[in-house]
Amino acid sequence: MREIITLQLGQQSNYVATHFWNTQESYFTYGADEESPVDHDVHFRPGLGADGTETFMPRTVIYDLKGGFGTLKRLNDLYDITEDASSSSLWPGQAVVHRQEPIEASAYQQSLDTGQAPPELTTSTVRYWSDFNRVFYHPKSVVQLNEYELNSTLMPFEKWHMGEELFANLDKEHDLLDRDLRPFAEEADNMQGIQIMSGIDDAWGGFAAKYIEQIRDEYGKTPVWVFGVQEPVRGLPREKRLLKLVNKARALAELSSQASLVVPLAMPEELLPSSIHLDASSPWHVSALFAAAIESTTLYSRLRTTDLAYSSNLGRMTDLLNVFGRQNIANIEMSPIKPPSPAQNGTNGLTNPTNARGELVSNPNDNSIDDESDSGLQKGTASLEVDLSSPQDLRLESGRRPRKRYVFSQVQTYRGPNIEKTAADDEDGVTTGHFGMRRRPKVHNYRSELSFPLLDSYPKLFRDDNAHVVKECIAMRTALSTDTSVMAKVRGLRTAVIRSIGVEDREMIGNELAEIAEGYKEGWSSGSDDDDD
Amino acid sequence: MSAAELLNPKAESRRRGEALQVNISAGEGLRNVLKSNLGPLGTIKMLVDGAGQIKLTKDGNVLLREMQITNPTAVMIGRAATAQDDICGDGTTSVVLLVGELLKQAERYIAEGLHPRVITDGFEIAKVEALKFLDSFKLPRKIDRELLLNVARTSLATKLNASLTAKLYPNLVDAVLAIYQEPAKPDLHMIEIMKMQHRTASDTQLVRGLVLDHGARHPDMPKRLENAYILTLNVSLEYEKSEINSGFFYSSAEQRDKLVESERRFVDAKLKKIVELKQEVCGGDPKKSFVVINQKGIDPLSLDVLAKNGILALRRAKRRNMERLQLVCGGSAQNSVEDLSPEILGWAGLVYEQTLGEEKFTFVEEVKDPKSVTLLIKGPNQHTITQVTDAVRDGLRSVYNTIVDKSVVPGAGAYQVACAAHLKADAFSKTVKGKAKWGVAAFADALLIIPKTLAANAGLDIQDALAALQDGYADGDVVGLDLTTGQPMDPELEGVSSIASNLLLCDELLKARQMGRQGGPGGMDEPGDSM
Repeated sequence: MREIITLQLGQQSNYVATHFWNTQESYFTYGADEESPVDHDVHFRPGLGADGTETFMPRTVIYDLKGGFGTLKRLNDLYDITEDASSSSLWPGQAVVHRQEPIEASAYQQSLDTGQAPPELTTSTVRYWSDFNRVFYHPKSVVQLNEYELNSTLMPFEKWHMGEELFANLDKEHDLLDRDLRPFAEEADNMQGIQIMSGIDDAWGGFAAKYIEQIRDEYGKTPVWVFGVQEPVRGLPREKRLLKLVNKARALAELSSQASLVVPLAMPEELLPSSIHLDASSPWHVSALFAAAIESTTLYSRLRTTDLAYSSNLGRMTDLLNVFGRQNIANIEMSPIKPPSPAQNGTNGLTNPTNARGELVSNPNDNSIDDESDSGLQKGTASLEVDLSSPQDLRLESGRRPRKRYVFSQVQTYRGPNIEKTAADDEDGVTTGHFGMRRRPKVHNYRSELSFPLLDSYPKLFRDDNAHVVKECIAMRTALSTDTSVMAKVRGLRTAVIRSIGVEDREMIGNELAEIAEGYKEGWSSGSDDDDD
Repeated sequence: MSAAELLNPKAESRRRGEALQVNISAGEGLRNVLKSNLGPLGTIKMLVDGAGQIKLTKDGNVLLREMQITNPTAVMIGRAATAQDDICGDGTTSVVLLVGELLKQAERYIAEGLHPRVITDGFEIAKVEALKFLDSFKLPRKIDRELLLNVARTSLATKLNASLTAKLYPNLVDAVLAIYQEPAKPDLHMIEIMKMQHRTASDTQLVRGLVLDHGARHPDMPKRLENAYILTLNVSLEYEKSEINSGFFYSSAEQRDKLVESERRFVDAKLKKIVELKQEVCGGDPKKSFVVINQKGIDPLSLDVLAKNGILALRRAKRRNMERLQLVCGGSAQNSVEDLSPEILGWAGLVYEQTLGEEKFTFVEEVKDPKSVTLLIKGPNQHTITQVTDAVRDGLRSVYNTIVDKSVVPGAGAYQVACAAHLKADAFSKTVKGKAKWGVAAFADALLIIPKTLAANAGLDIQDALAALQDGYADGDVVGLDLTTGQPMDPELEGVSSIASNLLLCDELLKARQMGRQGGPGGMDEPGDSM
């Protein structure tokens, strides 16, 4: 058993996580002779429903604000045994009913309930993340925070300190960790880690920072991964953008001091490659892209393994990425690989990791042309089509000459049908070959023949060469890397927000960000062009 | 075009008078929702949210938190009221009623042309005087069980039916008294509240010991132990990789296995110490047993070792349970296995496990002189459990407040009637000069909303009841409302009492009100500041 417990903090992250859980659920096999390559026990827990039926539900805790859950009930049908709530009143007097505007169950949910073929989801029929959810959650997994309302204009949950205060208040009253996280940790025999999906550009960042601080206290060396989700900022007024950047700066500063690995995710500002059609105004679409990247890049942590039980977990991955001990912010990139055949375009896109192409480093801004051989790559490293790391900050740099990117360490995942050149770079490359080479990027490859499934709850994002919608499943390559671009991004972010941070915290945050940036200079001094800012 | 519209053309701008009207009607609207809740004859509310989930509550605080409120003024009032709850633990409904009534009373005078500023000045004066009056009105009492029983019963009776109240209120008092060690304030966290979906609400009970919401994770561990020595630990008994980047240390599978093995040995050494301690205290005596309750994890291999030695081990106990366990069964929690000795062990006469569906509970009972106890709340479904939990929480807070304040205020509207009379009496009103006196008058009238609402909820004639009360007070008695007869009675006799600190709320609500009043042309000011 190598359980992973998930924490979902906030609306944005719940969209992402819903895609994630839908995908996990699709890996279930029901026949006796089929065996899924995925070890379901990693993410799911066996239990007993109210009437004694066996249940199998995610090891996750979902936090959202009042109104954020849509039609999802805390007690689902498997755990709810009350026929009539009013009969359980402990009050002799009469009951006055206050009914809120009922939310219609979406057509998709209704068809799931009745077992009919679901209608196609569109950006307008997805109102809440629960509208495209296919999974049952345990009542302990659903935590609604009543202090704030979703999308409230009166009191939006968008300032960092609100998140911090909310956590502090709730924790004082309820011991959040003990109440919510601990029951899942208690049943885990050998927890491999905690993965946290959280908004980092709104008040949830503050909530997450406090939460993780407590996790550190309580769970010692347990690896904690944070996927920091950000809203697309295009079209937002300037002060909102700035507020989001300030929140993000604080999040990076505070999270990176506690978490094992922080992976920021945001929509790239550049045009997406032709293989991806996406409506950036729909959280359903945006989160789908994030979820594909997250699900693929952590796939190894839940595959059935025999010998590699210790080498393919979150903790090991953290060690591989964080080579010098101070680099725990990682960039995530992805490339969907167009079917039908990995032809011309495809093979280049795969960027065969063993193929040495000289020591030049590619420009992270130009991720669309990275598969052209003359842009060059560091030995073995890949730059993929879609860089989700933190592009809006990158733009701050765009006026200058493109920076070189030096990769300290990279974990690449390829999932999909086997391609020809697999012999040389199989998983042995993980444990051998890169031992003790300080001056070389470390590239670790994971591959699985399990393609990314495209479910009916998943938006039709991917297109093939003929601009047709890709159906059923798609091959995918992702790369998680610690590289020097983080330095530029963090510095850029620091410059952009430092004046907007309150005086009392300004110095501390500024220093912490500077320190993070500093951490990415280590071991790479040659030709380093330090910008002063 | 107002300034706000210049800045933001979308802003919904309201002129001053209109804004005031909006605020007042918001306050009244909220009051109307809550007023039927007040008192032992109010109604219970059934909230149905958008997803069709049902919540039954009589607690104004719960109601305010869970209702969707869209009016900015109402949000502010709600916030002030729930903040009040955080301080006192009760009294939310009264706050909302008072705010609504203050606004309504103010409206009368504003209609006559009085400037709102003048009225708030009057409110301020009246508030100071009301608090002063409270000091003289409250009855300092020696804290004894009898008094606390009355307080607990009054509090529970406003939230639960009579038979359940009668069953539960002594439990609450005994729970608080068990953890109360004079002169320190009781720490309510030392009362564990455990919920069990099982049987009926009337099976809710006080356990003089600790109930944990988890059990052994090994099939061979004993399920029931008597005469148990309890080791409270905060030590990881899991294989953990070492701090240093272990990836650098091995390049082959054998090397890795070796590393794993050496780290395993580290855990085994800790286990050995625990087993040795067990041998030391229990020896071969089958009548003695040994329990380990650990805040950190215990992995399956370690569980196996412990099970083989007949030890019941629980992992990932709540952090607070470390403290509670020491108070329940003695001993001291250990952060390492270095100093294990029989002295640090606690003791319990009985430790047993109960399984309900997928949930397990472990009871640590039959202990000597527990300083921490558990209220085990039972109910056939979540709705019931939630109602009892909410009521118990408020009841515990009332008992706590009484102990801390060492005084009670006669309830049933007695204070409000007396205070209103005091504010209007010549002795005080003559000291208020100028226009502010109408503010004072409005405040005094507003206070009467509490007895009025109590009377209305009891189905009595409001004016009759109020008149009777005021006459009674004029005769020099302390009067409250007897909700069955509508006649004045001595509230203390009936044990109707409420808590002095509730009156703190006056401060909060006045602030909230002023914010609302001067809330700019849009009435949409940032509400955050007032909190």
